[in-house]
Amino acid sequence: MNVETSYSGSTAVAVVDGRIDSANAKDFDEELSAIIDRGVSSLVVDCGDLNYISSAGLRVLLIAIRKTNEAGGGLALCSVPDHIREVLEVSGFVRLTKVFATADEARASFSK
Amino acid sequence: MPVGATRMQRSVEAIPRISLMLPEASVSRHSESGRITVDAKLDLEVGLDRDEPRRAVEQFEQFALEHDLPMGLTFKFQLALDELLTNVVSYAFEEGAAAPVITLALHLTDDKLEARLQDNGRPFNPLRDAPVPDLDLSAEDRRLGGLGIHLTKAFVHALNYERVDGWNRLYLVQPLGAHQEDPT
Repeated sequence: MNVETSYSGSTAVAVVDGRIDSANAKDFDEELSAIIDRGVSSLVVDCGDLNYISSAGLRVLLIAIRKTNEAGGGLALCSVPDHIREVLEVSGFVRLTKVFATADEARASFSK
Repeated sequence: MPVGATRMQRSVEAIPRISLMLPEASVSRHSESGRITVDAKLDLEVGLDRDEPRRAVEQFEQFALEHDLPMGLTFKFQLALDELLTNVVSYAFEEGAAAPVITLALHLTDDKLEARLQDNGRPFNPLRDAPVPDLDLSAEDRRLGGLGIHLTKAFVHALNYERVDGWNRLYLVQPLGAHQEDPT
């Protein structure tokens, strides 16, 4: 798992690839926390190259959703592969965060 | 002696290299009246370590690839095994528990994929004892855990638990027809 982040004011796009499970969820949590701690309130997580996420990864997303909500922004997902989308649907995460087709659309949703 | 040394080298080289087959995997395929029969097994021991569920499910993934299982089915079964194993590794044993044993046995036949996951940890029936998450709550009110078993139940066709002679045993069954794109 790698996270590559681009910043634009209080908005950031974090591109996550690979696999997030109980073995590395802590690393994922540290990555997202570090981004939010830099003053980011609107966070887009680009899942285009994410091929696996277990409940340990969802837990980290939930923490980031809470933190960004609290900061007055929010968290959005984009480019989610179908099998990952099914995980988000079954776990009810599609009700906690918006899912966009592209990073640009996700970023634009925050500037409205 | 140079001659003897050469002969010895040759005999060492003649020993077949360890096969690249999965550990403890057995496969038999034979054709009966034109139909291919699959009967493949994979037995794994899983250590009591945070990285072990991943190691085990990656071996399952390799097994699934070798037997051309559909990707969607492989992903869901992998996630279920990961969640169940992660629970066992995280909670089934006290710190310093004597002789913890966790095993995963997979069995693939023509029409179904089965798994038996067992451990000698404290009794825990995830079907009964795991809290059911409330998916209607807001992010702020939601519990942080509890989604693993929920996903497992949703992704596996049949899931059963029994406690036998100090062992937790979970049985997973996935019919292979259930994920075919064409309903016929």
